[in-house]
Amino acid sequence: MSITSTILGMSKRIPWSVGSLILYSMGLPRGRGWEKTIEAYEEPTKRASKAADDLENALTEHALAGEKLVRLYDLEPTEIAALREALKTHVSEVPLELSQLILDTNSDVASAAPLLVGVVVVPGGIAAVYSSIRTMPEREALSMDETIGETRDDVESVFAMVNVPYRAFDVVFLPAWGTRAELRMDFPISAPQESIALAVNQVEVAFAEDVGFEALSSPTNLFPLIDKMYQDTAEGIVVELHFNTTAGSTHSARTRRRSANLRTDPYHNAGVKGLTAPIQPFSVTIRWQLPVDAKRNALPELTLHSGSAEREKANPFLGTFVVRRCSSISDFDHVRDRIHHHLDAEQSDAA
Amino acid sequence: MTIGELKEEILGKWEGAPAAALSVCIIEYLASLPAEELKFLTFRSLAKATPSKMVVTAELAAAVNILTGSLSLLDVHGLLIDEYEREYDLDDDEFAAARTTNSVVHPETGQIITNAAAHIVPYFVPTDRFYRAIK
Repeated sequence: MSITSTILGMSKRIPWSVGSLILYSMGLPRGRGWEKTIEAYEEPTKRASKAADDLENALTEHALAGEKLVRLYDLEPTEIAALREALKTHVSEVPLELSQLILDTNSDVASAAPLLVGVVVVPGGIAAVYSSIRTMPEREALSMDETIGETRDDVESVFAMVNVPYRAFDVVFLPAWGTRAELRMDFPISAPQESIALAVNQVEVAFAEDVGFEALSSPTNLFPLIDKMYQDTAEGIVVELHFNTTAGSTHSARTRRRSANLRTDPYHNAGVKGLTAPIQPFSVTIRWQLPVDAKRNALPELTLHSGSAEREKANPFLGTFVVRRCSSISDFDHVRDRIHHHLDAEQSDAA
Repeated sequence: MTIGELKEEILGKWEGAPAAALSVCIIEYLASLPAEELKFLTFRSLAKATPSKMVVTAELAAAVNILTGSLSLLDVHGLLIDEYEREYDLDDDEFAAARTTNSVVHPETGQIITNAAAHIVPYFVPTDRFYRAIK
Protein backbone atom coordinates (compact mmCIF):
# COMPACT_ATOMS: atom_id res chain seq x y z
CA MET A 1 0.00 0.00 0.00
CA SER A 2 1.43 3.41 -0.93
CA ILE A 3 1.76 5.96 1.79
CA THR A 4 0.03 8.48 -0.49
CA SER A 5 -3.18 6.39 -0.45
CA THR A 6 -2.89 5.93 3.30
CA ILE A 7 -2.63 9.68 3.90
CA LEU A 8 -5.61 10.25 1.61
CA GLY A 9 -7.55 7.58 3.51
CA MET A 10 -6.62 9.20 6.82
CA SER A 11 -7.84 12.58 5.59
CA LYS A 12 -11.27 11.08 4.78
CA ARG A 13 -11.98 9.77 8.28
CA ILE A 14 -9.59 11.07 10.94
CA PRO A 15 -10.12 14.48 12.58
CA TRP A 16 -7.17 16.73 11.77
CA SER A 17 -6.16 17.20 15.41
CA VAL A 18 -5.93 13.41 15.79
CA GLY A 19 -4.30 12.71 12.41
CA SER A 20 -1.75 15.41 13.05
CA LEU A 21 -0.95 13.82 16.43
CA ILE A 22 -0.51 10.38 14.81
CA LEU A 23 1.97 11.81 12.27
CA TYR A 24 3.77 13.72 15.03
CA SER A 25 4.05 10.60 17.21
CA MET A 26 5.67 8.74 14.29
CA GLY A 27 8.08 11.59 13.55
CA LEU A 28 6.51 12.09 10.11
CA PRO A 29 6.02 15.42 8.33
CA ARG A 30 2.75 17.35 8.52
CA GLY A 31 1.57 20.35 6.55
CA ARG A 32 -0.92 22.93 7.78
CA GLY A 33 -4.14 20.96 7.34
CA TRP A 34 -4.90 17.84 5.30
CA GLU A 35 -4.44 19.42 1.86
CA LYS A 36 -0.85 20.53 2.52
CA THR A 37 -0.12 17.22 4.24
CA ILE A 38 -1.40 15.23 1.24
CA GLU A 39 0.82 17.40 -1.01
CA ALA A 40 3.80 16.64 1.22
CA TYR A 41 3.33 12.90 0.58
CA GLU A 42 2.90 13.08 -3.20
CA GLU A 43 6.62 12.45 -3.46
CA PRO A 44 7.34 10.89 -0.09
CA THR A 45 10.82 10.81 1.40
CA LYS A 46 12.53 7.46 1.98
CA ARG A 47 11.82 7.78 5.68
CA ALA A 48 8.11 8.36 5.04
CA SER A 49 7.94 5.42 2.61
CA LYS A 50 9.51 3.17 5.23
CA ALA A 51 6.74 4.18 7.64
CA ALA A 52 3.99 3.21 5.15
CA ASP A 53 3.04 0.00 6.95
CA ASP A 54 3.02 1.66 10.38
CA LEU A 55 0.79 4.43 9.07
CA GLU A 56 -1.60 1.94 7.42
CA ASN A 57 -1.75 0.17 10.81
CA ALA A 58 -2.61 3.49 12.46
CA LEU A 59 -5.42 3.96 9.94
CA THR A 60 -6.68 0.43 10.69
CA GLU A 61 -6.55 1.20 14.42
CA HIS A 62 -8.66 4.29 13.77
CA ALA A 63 -11.18 2.21 11.82
CA LEU A 64 -11.34 -0.16 14.81
CA ALA A 65 -11.44 2.42 17.58
CA GLY A 66 -11.71 6.02 16.33
CA GLU A 67 -14.84 8.25 16.45
CA LYS A 68 -17.21 5.53 17.66
CA LEU A 69 -20.69 5.21 19.06
CA VAL A 70 -20.57 2.11 21.22
CA ARG A 71 -23.03 -0.41 22.61
CA LEU A 72 -22.08 -2.99 25.20
CA TYR A 73 -23.76 -6.37 25.62
CA ASP A 74 -23.39 -8.41 28.79
CA LEU A 75 -23.55 -11.99 27.53
CA GLU A 76 -23.64 -15.39 29.15
CA PRO A 77 -20.20 -17.10 29.28
CA THR A 78 -21.43 -19.83 26.92
CA GLU A 79 -22.75 -17.25 24.44
CA ILE A 80 -19.53 -15.25 24.18
CA ALA A 81 -17.47 -18.43 23.99
CA ALA A 82 -19.61 -19.57 21.04
CA LEU A 83 -19.18 -16.18 19.37
CA ARG A 84 -15.39 -16.34 19.77
CA GLU A 85 -15.32 -19.79 18.21
CA ALA A 86 -17.57 -18.69 15.34
CA LEU A 87 -15.42 -15.61 14.61
CA LYS A 88 -12.17 -17.57 14.66
CA THR A 89 -13.24 -19.31 11.47
CA HIS A 90 -13.35 -15.91 9.71
CA VAL A 91 -9.95 -14.57 10.87
CA SER A 92 -8.21 -12.82 7.96
CA GLU A 93 -4.92 -14.32 6.85
CA VAL A 94 -3.63 -11.01 5.51
CA PRO A 95 -3.58 -7.69 7.38
CA LEU A 96 -6.54 -5.40 6.73
CA GLU A 97 -5.65 -2.63 4.29
CA LEU A 98 -8.48 -0.17 4.46
CA SER A 99 -7.25 2.94 2.67
CA GLN A 100 -8.39 1.79 -0.79
CA LEU A 101 -11.81 0.89 0.61
CA ILE A 102 -12.07 4.29 2.32
CA LEU A 103 -11.33 6.05 -0.95
CA ASP A 104 -13.99 4.01 -2.77
CA THR A 105 -17.34 5.53 -1.84
CA ASN A 106 -19.25 4.52 -4.96
CA SER A 107 -22.75 5.67 -4.09
CA ASP A 108 -24.30 2.73 -6.04
CA VAL A 109 -23.63 0.58 -3.02
CA ALA A 110 -25.11 3.08 -0.56
CA SER A 111 -28.10 0.90 0.17
CA ALA A 112 -26.10 -2.29 0.52
CA ALA A 113 -26.09 -4.10 3.86
CA PRO A 114 -22.88 -3.99 5.91
CA LEU A 115 -20.28 -6.33 4.51
CA LEU A 116 -17.80 -8.26 6.64
CA VAL A 117 -14.40 -7.11 5.31
CA GLY A 118 -12.22 -8.84 7.85
CA VAL A 119 -11.82 -10.43 11.25
CA VAL A 120 -8.65 -9.43 13.05
CA VAL A 121 -7.02 -10.51 16.27
CA VAL A 122 -5.88 -7.44 18.19
CA PRO A 123 -4.36 -7.06 21.66
CA GLY A 124 -7.15 -7.82 24.08
CA GLY A 125 -9.56 -9.57 21.75
CA ILE A 126 -10.94 -10.30 18.31
CA ALA A 127 -12.73 -7.82 16.03
CA ALA A 128 -15.12 -8.34 13.13
CA VAL A 129 -15.02 -5.33 10.80
CA TYR A 130 -18.10 -4.45 8.74
CA SER A 131 -18.02 -1.92 5.94
CA SER A 132 -20.84 0.10 4.42
CA ILE A 133 -21.46 3.45 2.76
CA ARG A 134 -23.37 6.04 4.76
CA THR A 135 -23.88 9.74 4.15
CA MET A 136 -23.48 12.83 6.25
CA PRO A 137 -24.81 16.31 5.53
CA GLU A 138 -22.31 18.98 4.61
CA ARG A 139 -22.99 22.63 3.89
CA GLU A 140 -21.84 23.73 0.45
CA ALA A 141 -21.75 27.30 -0.83
CA LEU A 142 -23.47 27.65 -4.21
CA SER A 143 -22.81 30.16 -6.93
CA MET A 144 -25.20 33.11 -6.69
CA ASP A 145 -25.22 33.47 -10.49
CA GLU A 146 -26.17 29.84 -11.04
CA THR A 147 -28.91 29.76 -8.39
CA ILE A 148 -30.85 32.99 -8.11
CA GLY A 149 -29.01 35.20 -10.58
CA GLU A 150 -30.08 38.83 -10.29
CA THR A 151 -33.63 38.07 -9.22
CA ARG A 152 -32.97 38.98 -5.56
CA ASP A 153 -30.88 41.83 -4.24
CA ASP A 154 -31.46 40.98 -0.56
CA VAL A 155 -29.56 37.67 -0.62
CA GLU A 156 -25.85 37.60 0.23
CA SER A 157 -25.11 33.91 -0.23
CA VAL A 158 -26.79 30.58 -1.02
CA PHE A 159 -25.96 27.27 0.61
CA ALA A 160 -27.05 23.69 -0.04
CA MET A 161 -27.00 20.78 2.38
CA VAL A 162 -25.28 18.01 0.45
CA ASN A 163 -25.33 14.36 1.54
CA VAL A 164 -21.68 13.34 1.28
CA PRO A 165 -21.04 9.58 1.15
CA TYR A 166 -18.40 8.14 3.45
CA ARG A 167 -17.07 4.65 4.05
CA ALA A 168 -18.08 3.53 7.53
CA PHE A 169 -16.39 0.75 9.47
CA ASP A 170 -18.47 -0.82 12.22
CA VAL A 171 -16.83 -3.29 14.53
CA VAL A 172 -18.05 -6.12 16.72
CA PHE A 173 -15.36 -6.64 19.34
CA LEU A 174 -15.15 -9.67 21.59
CA PRO A 175 -12.66 -9.29 24.45
CA ALA A 176 -10.31 -12.19 25.14
CA TRP A 177 -11.51 -12.15 28.77
CA GLY A 178 -14.87 -11.41 30.33
CA THR A 179 -18.36 -11.60 28.89
CA ARG A 180 -18.97 -8.06 27.62
CA ALA A 181 -19.15 -7.75 23.81
CA GLU A 182 -18.93 -4.38 22.07
CA LEU A 183 -20.50 -2.92 18.96
CA ARG A 184 -18.49 0.11 17.79
CA MET A 185 -20.24 2.13 15.11
CA ASP A 186 -18.40 4.74 13.07
CA PHE A 187 -19.77 8.09 14.19
CA PRO A 188 -18.15 11.12 12.52
CA ILE A 189 -19.01 14.36 14.29
CA SER A 190 -21.31 15.53 11.47
CA ALA A 191 -23.16 12.22 11.09
CA PRO A 192 -26.85 12.30 12.05
CA GLN A 193 -27.75 10.06 14.98
CA GLU A 194 -30.79 8.64 13.10
CA SER A 195 -28.60 7.16 10.34
CA ILE A 196 -26.56 5.37 13.00
CA ALA A 197 -29.66 3.88 14.65
CA LEU A 198 -30.59 2.18 11.38
CA ALA A 199 -27.00 1.04 10.80
CA VAL A 200 -26.84 -0.50 14.31
CA ASN A 201 -29.72 -2.81 13.43
CA GLN A 202 -28.14 -3.71 10.09
CA VAL A 203 -24.82 -4.66 11.70
CA GLU A 204 -26.54 -6.66 14.46
CA VAL A 205 -28.43 -8.62 11.79
CA ALA A 206 -25.32 -9.11 9.60
CA PHE A 207 -23.31 -10.31 12.60
CA ALA A 208 -26.05 -12.78 13.57
CA GLU A 209 -26.01 -14.21 10.04
CA ASP A 210 -22.20 -14.52 10.05
CA VAL A 211 -21.94 -16.28 13.41
CA GLY A 212 -25.12 -18.30 13.02
CA PHE A 213 -27.17 -16.98 15.92
CA GLU A 214 -28.53 -13.75 17.39
CA ALA A 215 -26.47 -12.60 20.35
CA LEU A 216 -26.36 -8.80 20.22
CA SER A 217 -29.95 -7.96 21.07
CA SER A 218 -29.98 -6.50 24.60
CA PRO A 219 -27.55 -3.61 25.10
CA THR A 220 -26.35 -2.88 28.61
CA ASN A 221 -27.86 0.10 30.44
CA LEU A 222 -25.24 2.81 30.86
CA PHE A 223 -27.48 5.51 32.33
CA PRO A 224 -26.28 5.12 35.95
CA LEU A 225 -22.73 5.85 34.77
CA ILE A 226 -23.61 9.45 33.89
CA ASP A 227 -23.87 10.41 37.55
CA LYS A 228 -21.17 8.01 38.76
CA MET A 229 -18.50 9.22 36.37
CA TYR A 230 -19.38 12.90 36.90
CA GLN A 231 -19.08 12.40 40.65
CA ASP A 232 -15.74 10.55 40.45
CA THR A 233 -13.23 13.41 40.59
CA ALA A 234 -10.36 11.07 39.64
CA GLU A 235 -12.04 10.42 36.29
CA GLY A 236 -10.54 12.82 33.72
CA ILE A 237 -11.98 16.32 33.43
CA VAL A 238 -15.65 17.14 32.84
CA VAL A 239 -15.92 19.35 29.75
CA GLU A 240 -19.69 19.31 29.24
CA LEU A 241 -22.61 18.62 31.55
CA HIS A 242 -26.40 18.83 31.31
CA PHE A 243 -28.51 18.38 34.42
CA ASN A 244 -31.89 18.90 36.08
CA THR A 245 -32.37 20.39 39.53
CA THR A 246 -35.14 19.91 42.06
CA ALA A 247 -35.57 23.69 41.93
CA GLY A 248 -37.30 23.09 38.61
CA SER A 249 -34.58 24.09 36.17
CA THR A 250 -32.41 22.43 33.56
CA HIS A 251 -28.81 23.58 33.07
CA SER A 252 -26.13 23.11 30.46
CA ALA A 253 -22.47 23.94 30.90
CA ARG A 254 -19.43 23.53 28.69
CA THR A 255 -15.81 24.51 29.18
CA ARG A 256 -14.08 26.66 26.58
CA ARG A 257 -10.43 26.01 27.46
CA ARG A 258 -8.94 22.62 26.70
CA SER A 259 -7.74 21.94 30.24
CA ALA A 260 -10.67 23.50 32.12
CA ASN A 261 -12.72 21.21 34.36
CA LEU A 262 -16.37 21.88 35.24
CA ARG A 263 -15.87 20.01 38.51
CA THR A 264 -13.62 22.88 39.68
CA ASP A 265 -15.47 25.70 37.89
CA PRO A 266 -16.44 28.32 40.49
CA TYR A 267 -19.79 29.17 38.85
CA HIS A 268 -20.79 25.51 38.58
CA ASN A 269 -19.70 24.74 42.13
CA ALA A 270 -21.48 27.77 43.59
CA GLY A 271 -24.67 26.60 41.88
CA VAL A 272 -24.29 23.04 43.19
CA LYS A 273 -23.56 24.33 46.71
CA GLY A 274 -26.61 26.57 46.51
CA LEU A 275 -28.82 23.49 46.41
CA THR A 276 -29.50 21.10 49.27
CA ALA A 277 -30.63 18.28 46.96
CA PRO A 278 -28.04 16.92 44.49
CA ILE A 279 -28.14 17.89 40.82
CA GLN A 280 -29.42 15.23 38.39
CA PRO A 281 -27.04 14.90 35.41
CA PHE A 282 -28.41 13.39 32.20
CA SER A 283 -25.48 14.04 29.85
CA VAL A 284 -21.76 14.27 30.54
CA THR A 285 -18.59 14.54 28.46
CA ILE A 286 -15.29 13.60 30.08
CA ARG A 287 -11.83 14.15 28.59
CA TRP A 288 -8.60 12.41 29.57
CA GLN A 289 -5.05 13.59 28.92
CA LEU A 290 -2.86 10.64 27.91
CA PRO A 291 0.79 11.63 27.29
CA VAL A 292 2.25 10.86 23.86
CA ASP A 293 5.55 12.40 24.95
CA ALA A 294 6.71 15.27 27.16
CA LYS A 295 5.12 17.85 24.83
CA ARG A 296 1.90 16.38 23.46
CA ASN A 297 -1.12 14.52 24.85
CA ALA A 298 -3.81 12.41 23.27
CA LEU A 299 -7.17 13.81 24.46
CA PRO A 300 -9.77 11.04 24.16
CA GLU A 301 -13.32 12.05 25.07
CA LEU A 302 -16.28 10.06 26.35
CA THR A 303 -19.87 11.27 26.05
CA LEU A 304 -22.73 9.61 27.88
CA HIS A 305 -25.71 11.48 26.45
CA SER A 306 -29.35 11.15 27.40
CA GLY A 307 -32.20 13.64 27.86
CA SER A 308 -33.89 15.47 30.73
CA ALA A 309 -37.13 13.53 30.21
CA GLU A 310 -35.34 10.15 30.33
CA ARG A 311 -33.76 11.20 33.62
CA GLU A 312 -37.23 11.53 35.20
CA LYS A 313 -38.33 8.01 34.26
CA ALA A 314 -38.56 5.28 36.90
CA ASN A 315 -35.88 3.24 35.12
CA PRO A 316 -33.94 5.53 32.78
CA PHE A 317 -32.08 3.75 30.01
CA LEU A 318 -29.05 4.68 27.90
CA GLY A 319 -27.79 2.11 25.43
CA THR A 320 -24.79 3.89 23.88
CA PHE A 321 -21.74 5.98 24.65
CA VAL A 322 -19.59 7.98 22.23
CA VAL A 323 -15.79 7.99 22.18
CA ARG A 324 -13.96 10.66 20.18
CA ARG A 325 -10.39 11.89 19.60
CA CYS A 326 -8.70 8.50 20.00
CA SER A 327 -5.35 8.35 18.21
CA SER A 328 -4.89 4.63 18.84
CA ILE A 329 -6.59 1.50 20.16
CA SER A 330 -4.91 2.08 23.51
CA ASP A 331 -6.62 5.51 23.83
CA PHE A 332 -9.98 3.83 23.16
CA ASP A 333 -9.18 1.01 25.56
CA HIS A 334 -8.42 3.54 28.29
CA VAL A 335 -11.90 5.08 27.94
CA ARG A 336 -13.63 1.70 27.56
CA ASP A 337 -11.81 0.36 30.65
CA ARG A 338 -13.07 3.33 32.71
CA ILE A 339 -16.61 2.48 31.55
CA HIS A 340 -16.07 -1.16 32.53
CA HIS A 341 -14.73 -0.14 35.94
CA HIS A 342 -17.86 1.86 36.80
CA LEU A 343 -20.21 -0.63 35.19
CA ASP A 344 -18.71 -3.51 37.18
CA ALA A 345 -19.15 -1.51 40.40
CA GLU A 346 -22.74 -0.63 39.43
CA GLN A 347 -23.64 -4.23 38.62
CA SER A 348 -21.96 -5.46 41.79
CA ASP A 349 -23.98 -2.93 43.87
CA ALA A 350 -27.19 -4.01 42.15
CA ALA A 351 -26.54 -7.74 42.70
CA MET B 1 8.88 42.59 41.38
CA THR B 2 5.82 43.89 43.22
CA ILE B 3 2.66 45.28 41.69
CA GLY B 4 3.77 48.79 42.69
CA GLU B 5 7.09 48.31 40.89
CA LEU B 6 5.25 47.01 37.83
CA LYS B 7 3.07 50.09 37.70
CA GLU B 8 6.14 52.32 38.01
CA GLU B 9 7.84 50.43 35.20
CA ILE B 10 4.85 50.83 32.89
CA LEU B 11 4.27 54.49 33.61
CA GLY B 12 8.00 55.19 33.27
CA LYS B 13 8.51 53.24 30.05
CA TRP B 14 5.40 54.57 28.28
CA GLU B 15 5.33 57.97 29.96
CA GLY B 16 2.32 60.06 28.99
CA ALA B 17 0.75 57.38 26.81
CA PRO B 18 -2.98 56.94 27.62
CA ALA B 19 -2.60 53.19 27.01
CA ALA B 20 -0.04 52.99 29.83
CA ALA B 21 -2.49 54.40 32.39
CA LEU B 22 -5.12 52.01 31.06
CA SER B 23 -2.83 48.99 31.37
CA VAL B 24 -2.28 49.94 35.02
CA CYS B 25 -6.09 50.03 35.47
CA ILE B 26 -6.25 46.53 33.94
CA ILE B 27 -3.57 45.22 36.30
CA GLU B 28 -5.42 46.65 39.30
CA TYR B 29 -8.69 45.18 38.07
CA LEU B 30 -7.20 41.72 37.51
CA ALA B 31 -5.45 41.81 40.89
CA SER B 32 -8.87 42.39 42.53
CA LEU B 33 -10.28 39.13 41.08
CA PRO B 34 -9.71 35.59 42.38
CA ALA B 35 -7.39 33.43 40.24
CA GLU B 36 -10.26 31.05 39.31
CA GLU B 37 -11.91 33.96 37.47
CA LEU B 38 -8.84 34.81 35.42
CA LYS B 39 -8.87 31.82 33.09
CA PHE B 40 -10.57 33.32 30.04
CA LEU B 41 -10.29 37.10 29.69
CA THR B 42 -11.51 38.53 26.40
CA PHE B 43 -11.23 42.13 25.23
CA ARG B 44 -14.83 42.53 26.40
CA SER B 45 -14.01 41.33 29.89
CA LEU B 46 -10.87 43.49 30.09
CA ALA B 47 -12.94 46.50 29.01
CA LYS B 48 -14.57 46.31 32.46
CA ALA B 49 -11.32 47.79 33.78
CA THR B 50 -11.64 50.89 31.62
CA PRO B 51 -13.53 54.09 32.42
CA SER B 52 -16.10 53.30 29.68
CA LYS B 53 -16.60 49.83 31.29
CA MET B 54 -17.88 48.03 28.21
CA VAL B 55 -16.45 49.48 25.03
CA VAL B 56 -13.49 47.85 23.29
CA THR B 57 -11.34 50.68 21.94
CA ALA B 58 -8.02 51.00 20.11
CA GLU B 59 -6.60 52.34 23.37
CA LEU B 60 -7.64 49.14 25.16
CA ALA B 61 -5.93 47.08 22.45
CA ALA B 62 -2.77 49.16 22.92
CA ALA B 63 -2.92 48.65 26.70
CA VAL B 64 -3.29 44.89 26.23
CA ASN B 65 -0.31 44.98 23.85
CA ILE B 66 1.76 46.50 26.64
CA LEU B 67 0.74 43.70 29.01
CA THR B 68 1.28 40.86 26.53
CA GLY B 69 4.51 42.28 25.10
CA SER B 70 7.85 42.68 26.84
CA LEU B 71 6.18 42.89 30.25
CA SER B 72 4.86 39.31 29.88
CA LEU B 73 1.97 39.80 32.28
CA LEU B 74 -0.69 38.24 30.05
CA ASP B 75 -0.46 35.29 27.67
CA VAL B 76 -2.72 35.34 24.63
CA HIS B 77 -4.52 32.28 23.23
CA GLY B 78 -7.19 31.74 20.57
CA LEU B 79 -10.64 30.13 20.49
CA LEU B 80 -11.91 29.15 17.02
CA ILE B 81 -15.69 29.33 16.53
CA ASP B 82 -16.74 27.59 13.32
CA GLU B 83 -19.80 28.00 11.12
CA TYR B 84 -21.74 25.50 13.25
CA GLU B 85 -20.87 27.50 16.42
CA ARG B 86 -18.58 24.71 17.62
CA GLU B 87 -15.70 26.04 19.70
CA TYR B 88 -12.09 24.82 19.56
CA ASP B 89 -9.30 25.95 21.88
CA LEU B 90 -6.41 26.32 19.42
CA ASP B 91 -2.89 24.99 19.94
CA ASP B 92 -0.51 27.87 20.61
CA ASP B 93 1.45 27.00 17.44
CA GLU B 94 -1.69 27.07 15.31
CA PHE B 95 -2.85 30.34 16.90
CA ALA B 96 0.56 31.90 16.21
CA ALA B 97 0.35 30.74 12.57
CA ALA B 98 -3.19 32.10 12.30
CA ARG B 99 -2.07 35.53 13.53
CA THR B 100 0.70 35.59 10.94
CA THR B 101 -1.25 34.27 7.94
CA ASN B 102 -4.86 35.19 8.82
CA SER B 103 -5.79 31.60 8.01
CA VAL B 104 -6.45 28.78 10.44
CA VAL B 105 -6.66 25.00 10.15
CA HIS B 106 -10.01 23.65 11.37
CA PRO B 107 -9.07 21.06 14.06
CA GLU B 108 -11.85 18.71 12.92
CA THR B 109 -11.88 18.89 9.12
CA GLY B 110 -8.24 19.88 8.59
CA GLN B 111 -9.41 22.45 6.04
CA ILE B 112 -7.96 25.94 5.89
CA ILE B 113 -10.32 28.71 6.96
CA THR B 114 -9.40 32.07 5.47
CA ASN B 115 -10.11 35.38 7.20
CA ALA B 116 -9.20 33.70 10.48
CA ALA B 117 -9.56 36.93 12.44
CA ALA B 118 -13.32 36.79 11.89
CA HIS B 119 -13.53 33.29 13.39
CA ILE B 120 -11.08 33.47 16.31
CA VAL B 121 -11.74 35.03 19.70
CA PRO B 122 -8.44 35.94 21.36
CA TYR B 123 -8.39 35.43 25.11
CA PHE B 124 -5.88 36.31 27.77
CA VAL B 125 -4.57 34.55 30.86
CA PRO B 126 -2.26 36.10 33.49
CA THR B 127 1.28 34.73 33.52
CA ASP B 128 3.28 33.43 36.48
CA ARG B 129 5.04 36.83 36.47
CA PHE B 130 1.69 38.54 37.11
CA TYR B 131 0.86 36.20 39.99
CA ARG B 132 4.30 36.69 41.55
CA ALA B 133 3.81 40.46 41.39
CA ILE B 134 0.41 40.46 43.12
CA LYS B 135 1.46 38.11 45.95
